[in-house]
Amino acid sequence: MSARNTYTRPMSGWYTKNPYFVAYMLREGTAVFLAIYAIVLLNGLSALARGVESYERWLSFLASPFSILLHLLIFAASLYHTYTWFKVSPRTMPPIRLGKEKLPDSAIIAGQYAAAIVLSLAILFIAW
Amino acid sequence: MKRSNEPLFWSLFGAGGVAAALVLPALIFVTGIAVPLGIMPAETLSYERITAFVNGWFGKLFVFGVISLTFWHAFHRIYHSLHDLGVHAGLGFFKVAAYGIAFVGTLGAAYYVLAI
Repeated sequence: MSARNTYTRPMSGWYTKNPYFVAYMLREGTAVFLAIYAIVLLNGLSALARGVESYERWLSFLASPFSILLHLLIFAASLYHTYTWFKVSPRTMPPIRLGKEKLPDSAIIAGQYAAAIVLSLAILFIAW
Repeated sequence: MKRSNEPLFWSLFGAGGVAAALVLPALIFVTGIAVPLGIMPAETLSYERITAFVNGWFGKLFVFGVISLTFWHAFHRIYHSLHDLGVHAGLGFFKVAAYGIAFVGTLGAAYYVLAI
């Protein structure tokens, strides 16, 4: 059977041709960094379970310049994830009604930022 | 008609997305930047302190939840991005691989959290 020569539109770099698509790919790309962080945390947890020496080794990895640079990127990605996640939330969650009025999008987004700020401060306060 | 399993994975993706948006920036800052750079004291992440935290039921639930949900969120998104990157063949394999990694991450987190 011979291969058919159907025309296939090339896909390479399609997302660079429109700022909306660039933002879309950046948003999807945050997942790669969040995945790395989940793996780093799981590693730390398994090191903790294996004992103090393994755990100290994990901590010294975290203190390496490579890890700090990596975590700066992961941190930036996580902030962008938070921003994009809250931005689309009025369209992805069921509408909240107060009596007959639908809660405005801006209130939903502001409420989530408030929750994120409270939780972040709580984490910093408990950790410190 | 065969029922789609997408709602299950989408729910985990959504729950992970919310969890990540709410707590990950602060966690990443503490574990990956502030303590390694000495902005926060090394004692913050000491073996004794973190062991004590994971020994409590809240600590176990928190650590397990964050790790597991972040895995489901991230690998769902990575799997669905393959199409955008021009990967159209072998999606069945990639689906098993992506959700398989998230599943193994969940099992691992549960095992270690209970072992501590």
